[in-house]
Amino acid sequence: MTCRHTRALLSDHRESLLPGHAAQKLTAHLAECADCRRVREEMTAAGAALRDLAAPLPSRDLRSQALTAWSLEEVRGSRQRDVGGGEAPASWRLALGLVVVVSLVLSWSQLSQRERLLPGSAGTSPDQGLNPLATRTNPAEAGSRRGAGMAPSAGQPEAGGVVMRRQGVQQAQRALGALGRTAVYPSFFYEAPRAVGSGAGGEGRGASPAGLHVDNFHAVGSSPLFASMRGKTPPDAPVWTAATPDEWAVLEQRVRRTMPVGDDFVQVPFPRLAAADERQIATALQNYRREAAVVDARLAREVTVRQKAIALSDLCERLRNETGIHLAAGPSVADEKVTLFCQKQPLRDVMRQLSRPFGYTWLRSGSSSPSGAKASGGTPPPHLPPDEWAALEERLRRTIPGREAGGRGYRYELVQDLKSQLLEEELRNRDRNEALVALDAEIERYRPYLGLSPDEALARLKGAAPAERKALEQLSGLGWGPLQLYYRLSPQDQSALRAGQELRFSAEPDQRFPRPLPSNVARGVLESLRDARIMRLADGSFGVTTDRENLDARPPAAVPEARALVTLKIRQSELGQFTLAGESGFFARSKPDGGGGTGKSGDDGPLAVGSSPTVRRPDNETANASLARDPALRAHISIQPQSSRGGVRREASGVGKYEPAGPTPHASRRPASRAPSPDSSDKVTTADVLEALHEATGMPIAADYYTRLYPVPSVTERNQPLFDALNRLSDTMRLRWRRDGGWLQFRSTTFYDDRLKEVPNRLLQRWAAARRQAGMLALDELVEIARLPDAQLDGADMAEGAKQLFGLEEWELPRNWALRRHLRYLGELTPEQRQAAAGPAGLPFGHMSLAQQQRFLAIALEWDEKPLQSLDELEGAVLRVDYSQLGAFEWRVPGAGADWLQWMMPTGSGRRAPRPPVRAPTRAEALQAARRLDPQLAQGMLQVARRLQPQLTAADMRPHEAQIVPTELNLTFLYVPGASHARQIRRFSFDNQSAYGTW
Amino acid sequence: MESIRQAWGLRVVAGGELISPSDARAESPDADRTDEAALLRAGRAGDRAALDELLGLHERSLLAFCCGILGHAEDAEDAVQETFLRALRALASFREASAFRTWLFRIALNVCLSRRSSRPAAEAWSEEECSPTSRSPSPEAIALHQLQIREALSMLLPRQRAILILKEREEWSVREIALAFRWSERQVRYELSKARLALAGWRQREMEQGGEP
Repeated sequence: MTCRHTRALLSDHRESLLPGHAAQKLTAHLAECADCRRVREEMTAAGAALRDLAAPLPSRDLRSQALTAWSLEEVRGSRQRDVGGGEAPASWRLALGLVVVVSLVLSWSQLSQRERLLPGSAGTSPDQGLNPLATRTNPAEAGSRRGAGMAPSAGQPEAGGVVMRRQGVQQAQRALGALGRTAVYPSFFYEAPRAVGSGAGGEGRGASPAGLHVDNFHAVGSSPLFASMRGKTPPDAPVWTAATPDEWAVLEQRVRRTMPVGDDFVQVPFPRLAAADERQIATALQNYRREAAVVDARLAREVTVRQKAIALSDLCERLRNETGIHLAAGPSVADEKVTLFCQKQPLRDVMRQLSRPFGYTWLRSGSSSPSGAKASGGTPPPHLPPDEWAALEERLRRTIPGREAGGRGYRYELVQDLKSQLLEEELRNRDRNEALVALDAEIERYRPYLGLSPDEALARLKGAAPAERKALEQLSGLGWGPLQLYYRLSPQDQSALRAGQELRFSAEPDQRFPRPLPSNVARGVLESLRDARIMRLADGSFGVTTDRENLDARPPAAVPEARALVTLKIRQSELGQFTLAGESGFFARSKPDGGGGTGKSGDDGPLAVGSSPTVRRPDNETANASLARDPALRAHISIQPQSSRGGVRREASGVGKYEPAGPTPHASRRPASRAPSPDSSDKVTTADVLEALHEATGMPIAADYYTRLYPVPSVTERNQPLFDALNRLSDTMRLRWRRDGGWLQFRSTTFYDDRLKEVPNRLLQRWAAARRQAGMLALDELVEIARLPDAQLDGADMAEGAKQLFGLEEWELPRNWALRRHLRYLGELTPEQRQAAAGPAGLPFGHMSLAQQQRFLAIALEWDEKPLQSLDELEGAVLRVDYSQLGAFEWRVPGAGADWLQWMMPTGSGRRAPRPPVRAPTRAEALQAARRLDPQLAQGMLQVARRLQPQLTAADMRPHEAQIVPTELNLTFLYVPGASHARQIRRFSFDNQSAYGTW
Repeated sequence: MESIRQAWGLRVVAGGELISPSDARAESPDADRTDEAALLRAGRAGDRAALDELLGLHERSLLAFCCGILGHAEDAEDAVQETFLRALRALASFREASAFRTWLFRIALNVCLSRRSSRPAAEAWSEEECSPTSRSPSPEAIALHQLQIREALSMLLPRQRAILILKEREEWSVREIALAFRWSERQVRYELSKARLALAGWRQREMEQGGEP
């Protein structure tokens, strides 16, 4: 017997249908053939698996509905026979009519009772019955109605008629047609219940977003579900166990792959199974399939959009108002900005463009409208004529066979799912590493010159080639010390540096500068401090001046008490960009045993900046090489974008919030020679450029938007093939372009970083409006801006945009790294406290809460060597904030090093107090105010000023016109740790970022 | 209460709790010996409750049968409902030449086959294997197992599915199946063998690909 023959007989053998001799031969073959044995075993196992196939529980009352329908048919048949025969006497007809009425009433009564029987039934109020939604609160009833063929009134006898889904619609229509009923419900009118917890105890068995319907009616029967809800677990009921993510993922992946979604850009929530009940599983998957198959006919509505840099929340709102379809942007993407230009494009395409290119997803929720006005219609969306609506539905059915049109009640929400967010995080990390590598390569260019001293580097700089100038400039100045130390770092220090820690070195290490500075490096550091001079004051302490002509002052390298200091830090200057920064300085102790002293430090700018090379070179030509020969992209175009700053001008004139400029009149296919030459001082946004591109090509465009400004000439194209223009423009603007059907899509190459840098429009517009109203941003608004994430404040492009596009000239104040910390501290104060701090007397220490006092002391005494002995030392301690704007005049106290006198005044006997700066709207008023100063105060000021400039006289201190200067945009924080001179004041300001001292 | 009982065919058990016929069978061993013929007679005489009970005896088997052929529970429910309706319409013409169950399943088979022929074939489940690694009876594991069985069934011809389900799940004899389908026993055996071999082959392939069917 061959294997083939054996296998053909295996089935009969299992049924014991083989004759004896054949059975013997087969058995003998099986004993010898492992392959055939295996087939037999698999056959047996397959049979067992089929026996395991759970018998589903019906989700609705199949028998009763069939019986009712049959009864009605019987009655109707009798009536027709009766009427059709024409022989029945009138009394019989009357009797039959009565039977029909009684039957219908009885049937209705049964239905009502059934509904009352159901736990949680919504009841049978006629009012509720008129609205199917009113009764769908009971999932069991929803299940029984979900098919079709349901009369609109639940209170009608025929409401309990045949309910069949899918094909059942037509059948139900036929079944009900005889009764004159034509209304049919869509098969998906109900909204699936949300998850309702879990537990074998039965309360709130698990369900899913897509709807696992707990069919209470069938629970009355033998359902394991109901049994468990009653506390009885049937022997064959599946054990309740936690779902493993792997298993669920497998299931979801499988089902999603085999059930394509009708509106393919929409994410249909996948059900979460909470029970292994066969009916629930089947129902859940069936519900998913039904939902997935839906194609929302309303999305065929054509829309025209011309929006630049609009937040997705605003765009969705506009589309919602225009189409009547509920579109919304979820919190994860609401503030994201896009640029969209299209002319009469189906809303479906627009939605697709807003989701796919950016990694977002449209979530569809809710259900199609329950309106049963007609079989497939319902209420058309606002602004859409009914006939157009009907035509749309019809077209959809024709063009997409097998799909179910509908969705009148669906809501769409644009979101970014976790997967996409994690992907962006991954890109950020990759970019971060590449930027660090690039930074390292950038630092390497100093290596050839490390053997030079600062003076040698300075000498070599004079005849240096341009390529080596930058390196020599740093090495001849304040960058020498940090760079020397960078190359001497231990692996641990390098790691700490990359982690963002600031490394501090000193020739005399202490708590604040714990790392030792090698002596040869220390010498070089002092040598590099060429602009600083140290002088011994009358009281024996040291003073610092930058006056190189002062013969009493000596360079730090010539002062034995001067100790070199160096700091080194790698800072993420912006997302995707790292900067190596370092400062050189000194500290001269006035007395050898400690006590006061003075110092100065500074830098010559960042030592090196590293950013990811892939970010800098999008190389669109290579990326889009396959489109190079596309005829549609060979047409020659000329574009000249127009600046959006027109919006700012309108804004400045008080017209309203910032609005991008209108369509570009110059963008066209006409020869470039006719176009006016661009103004090189103008800058445009990517949205401006894309608008011009849309005007020139007519192609719909979808792009993300991140604030970046480009000089007009750099993004102007003249009579260039579209393909080349796209590559060049995109490379310039750090965008990646691609073609999607008829659409042009643009996305920033650094979108993952840009998203975090971009400040929402709603905030920018609010601040811009406040500024228009008050003429300047108030301190409270600066505090609010400082609360933005560092990524948004650090962004240079964003800062330029905030100033140029929204007129927020003060943006640099909270952006300033040194001031940001203090503005955030101000944010912790109450409005009243802030007001006091900004007043002439400042906010007294005693008026702060304990936490505020701790913060104050941490800053005020940060560099103080002497620990606080008693709170009495803080008598007269205040926080003072001075915020000055352009457009006024102020008196500058004469004398080098006397700038403290701008905010503080000596009050005699070694004490001090805050004083208001002398400011006035006009020069004359400021001069008059300065001259009104108390002569005693003027005398005190003179004494202070003469400490550094002994030659000053009282006449010098008398205010005169040359000392009246225009005010500048500045913000100054003064932490005064007491009225006594014993402790130094700390000052942080925009123009002189950090200072420490007093007179 | 009485109208409710009549309407839904519920029986009153000790304690006054209402239970459905299927529950009643589970509660009482005697219920298993329900006289199908008596129910049929009562139903023909107009006893709606008897008809309801009679149909209830076969409801879940029919549902499993239709589900196996059609592949989707909702379609199966529609098919069962249509089967019931057709059976009720034709009840007067039922001559009892065969068992009521055989007659009912024959109707169901016709309903399912006509439904399948009027609609495009159901989308097959993906062949890509991703079986659960855990044997814990979690809902997902059970669901996946069921899906795999349905997936295997979907590879068979509808008539083979029907025969296989009746044979393996409902444990009908070849003769009963032949009677129900009005086929020869030889034909049933042939289709059964083909179906079993196909299913065994599917299992083998699944195993070779690392799955656990």
